[in-house]
Amino acid sequence: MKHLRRSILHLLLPLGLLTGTTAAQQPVAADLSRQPEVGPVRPYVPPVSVQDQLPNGLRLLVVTDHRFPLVSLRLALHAGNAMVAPDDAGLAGAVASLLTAGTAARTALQIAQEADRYGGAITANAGPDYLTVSTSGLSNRLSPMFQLLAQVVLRPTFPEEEVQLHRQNGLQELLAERAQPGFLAGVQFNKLLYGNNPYAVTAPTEASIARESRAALQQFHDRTFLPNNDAVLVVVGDVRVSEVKDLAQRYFGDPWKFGQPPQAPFPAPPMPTTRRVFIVDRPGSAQSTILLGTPGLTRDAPDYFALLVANEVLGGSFNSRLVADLREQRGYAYGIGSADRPQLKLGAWLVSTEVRTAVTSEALKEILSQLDRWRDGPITATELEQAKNYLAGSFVRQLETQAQVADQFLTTALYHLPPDYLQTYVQRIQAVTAAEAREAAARHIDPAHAVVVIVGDARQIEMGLVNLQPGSILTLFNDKGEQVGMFPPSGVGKR
Amino acid sequence: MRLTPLALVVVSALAAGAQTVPAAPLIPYTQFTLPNGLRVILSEDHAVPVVTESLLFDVGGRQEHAGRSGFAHLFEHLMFEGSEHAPKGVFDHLVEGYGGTDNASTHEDYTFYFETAPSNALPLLTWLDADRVAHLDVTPTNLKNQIAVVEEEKRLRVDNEPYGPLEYVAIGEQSFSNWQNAHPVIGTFADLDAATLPDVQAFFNAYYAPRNAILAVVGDLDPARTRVLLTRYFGQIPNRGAIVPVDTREPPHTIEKHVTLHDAHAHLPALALTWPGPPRDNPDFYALTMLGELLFDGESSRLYQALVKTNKVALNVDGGLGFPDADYTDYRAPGLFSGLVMYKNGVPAVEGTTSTEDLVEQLIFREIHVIVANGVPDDELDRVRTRMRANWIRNEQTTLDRAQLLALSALLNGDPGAANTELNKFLQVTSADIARAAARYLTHAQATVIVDLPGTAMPTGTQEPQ
Repeated sequence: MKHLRRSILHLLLPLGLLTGTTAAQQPVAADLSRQPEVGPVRPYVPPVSVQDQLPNGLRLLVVTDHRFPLVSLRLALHAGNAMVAPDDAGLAGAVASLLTAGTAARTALQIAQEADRYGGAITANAGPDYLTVSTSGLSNRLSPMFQLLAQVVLRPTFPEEEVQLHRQNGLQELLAERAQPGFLAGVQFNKLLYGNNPYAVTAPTEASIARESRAALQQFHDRTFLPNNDAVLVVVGDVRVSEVKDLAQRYFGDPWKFGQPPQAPFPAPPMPTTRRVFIVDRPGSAQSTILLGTPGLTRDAPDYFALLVANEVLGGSFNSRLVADLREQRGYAYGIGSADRPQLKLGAWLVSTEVRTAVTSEALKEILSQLDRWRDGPITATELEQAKNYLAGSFVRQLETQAQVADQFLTTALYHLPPDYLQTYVQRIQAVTAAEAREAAARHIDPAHAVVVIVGDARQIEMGLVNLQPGSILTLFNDKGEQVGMFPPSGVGKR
Repeated sequence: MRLTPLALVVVSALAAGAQTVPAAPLIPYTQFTLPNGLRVILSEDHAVPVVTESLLFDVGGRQEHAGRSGFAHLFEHLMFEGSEHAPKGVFDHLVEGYGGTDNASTHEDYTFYFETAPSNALPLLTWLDADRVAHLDVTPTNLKNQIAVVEEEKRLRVDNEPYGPLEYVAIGEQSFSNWQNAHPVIGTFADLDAATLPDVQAFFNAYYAPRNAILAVVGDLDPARTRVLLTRYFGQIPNRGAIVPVDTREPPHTIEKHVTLHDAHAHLPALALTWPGPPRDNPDFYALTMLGELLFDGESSRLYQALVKTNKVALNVDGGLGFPDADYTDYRAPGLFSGLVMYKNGVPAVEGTTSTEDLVEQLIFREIHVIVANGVPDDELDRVRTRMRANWIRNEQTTLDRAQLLALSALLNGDPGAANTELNKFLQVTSADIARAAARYLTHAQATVIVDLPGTAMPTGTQEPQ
């Protein structure tokens, strides 16, 4: 009966879908005790872009991909959080949110409905360096997508009622975010790592939200939304290059005038002389969220790829040393990892994890000991090969969807990477030697000067953390980022 | 067969007049069943030299028994902890070492495993998967280790996370009556701690047998050679113990239920509203899916407009058929149609309401009543259809997307071909279908309302009836 049912299923298949499966062969069973041979990797050629620059300075990248009847658009410019004065923290994010809240031609609801009609949504996001507006939809609606994107980028009106609602909701959202340990850890970490540097400020405050106004938004928009302010338009999908070029000129060339791009001051971040441990008190926390980090590398650093490979060995994948130790050996954490966060002018490198409260200091001790072994000890040939293969494989997997392709090309353009960056990425990874990887780790990542931020129940973890580094003093913050004490409380507790 | 150039399905959108719309690219596939009952689906696509091998087992939290909540998920972790010929560490070491990635997820009623890797590594993936299904080898140390890891996962997602206890525990516990459906997939610490090696063996024997699995391999492969490869490795695996049938039937829900919880970590209140949903093989399944999209999806949605913009009472809304555990792609009855609203502190109740939460609930029911009474205007339904179609195509882009879609179609529709035909059924839903389904399912009598208040007025997770 089984055989019969199976053949009926075959008959029910549309004929065009059959790919020559033959009647039941019974091949000999494989020997499970032997790992099978693996052939060579099939070559992979990353997609290429057609590049152009409009007379007003806007750069255009087009990647054609006809596999799916979709198209993804990204427009980014140098208007990220680091372009904002500390008092106005969150202003770039507010502009990003409210670009889609109204234009001369459409209300917020009409903008959302227009995006529905091409099968997508239009959203904007402010990162540390750049503000990016993204949309995607069915490729036969390319023209309306361009029109809507141009309206929100060039002609937002920031309606008073929408600004007011954004301010009101912003206060509540801030409250909601402060309930999240990851948010508390990130905000405090950036403040402490970057000091007076613009990368220090990554979240608004009650005071900065109160300063949000239609005039401030409009002024930031006027100042930064210039085609020659490092602006890039990326279009990926089932499109013709000539059509995209025409639409780009029509919507972003003729109507968009260039101007004087703003410069933001970039004071050097603090140079710590010791490792400092900070606690953000979250009473009743079921876990401690640990962020340990140092300044990191930018993408154009000569040993960026060497650090990438070294980082992979330490904490870049499931097979890494940190996961093997803290998760698979000790059961302290569900997840742990390390990564370089490469910003435009100065990166950050960090280890992050969440561990149960009772093992907080043991976990930090183990992370530090792994860091020492990583910097001082060898990377084995197997580890090196694994790390490089994993990075090469991940690279291919990060170019599967149109949205991923758009993001990769946007990154190469915004960070001014060489035109052959994607084509040579795998070669650059494969060229790294074990010595270079270790050297990069030892040169750039110094745990003795790291910033450590732990979000957790202070009363339960402070003693263990002080004992880890005898003589050290912990600084305690509340969820608003205000300093609320020291531990030991005397502040000079040498023991 | 290559996926490019694309074949397009053409359907007629009934309510939009006689206009024809191309729906989505077809996913080519072949299927066969091995003598041991393992269902196999192959789909060839050489766009990138990548392949996904996935294994779906027809078992999830609902098959657990009292005293062992969380076990299906714990078992999923153990599947990566070593088999007879690939001891602990080897699985990730090889998959990642050849440039791939792997993961798994445990759901109410299925468990999904996958590896995505450069296509030359397929024999290795096949060997690793076959060895763990044939000869899983769990030691006491590895069991203890993964209990600790899963407990950290529970702390991370549930105990330490605002709204975690609401989403992962309370919605199921309050909305279902039958323990099989009501208990959380993540389990309890006591039940996780109680798991033993004999439990592991019994679960493995019953549910991780070839006849209870669907193997889908998608990407840069040769179907004929892959069929031989899979047959050689998986064909030799015998079925072991018998599957113990589990009764997941739910009694009818006939009285609106109200529950209030206190959430130690949340700073803003939230409200969840759930209703029992239809069987999947039912016109109302398609209608309620479309209704979920138009109520909750995006800034143009009815409830975003009503709660966030017009009445300014909420910060965000989310929901739909299957929410929060599933969506229309993996919905399986008994399931829920649910909404979740995070609303603001200090918004006063307005005339005709008793509290802010009552206002939120009334606004949700008001939108439902409008749809029941008036149906959905053509232009609104057209927008929802267009978005549904574009999202469907977006979700076909990766080899993993397609493996998951084919395997779920085989599990839930009994036919991987549903991956190519289901979209049309969503696009054919009419205004009258939506109004009828809303009237039948989204009633006061069948509703469960859970209010999640910030603070620790009572210990986390306990409830007081209203």
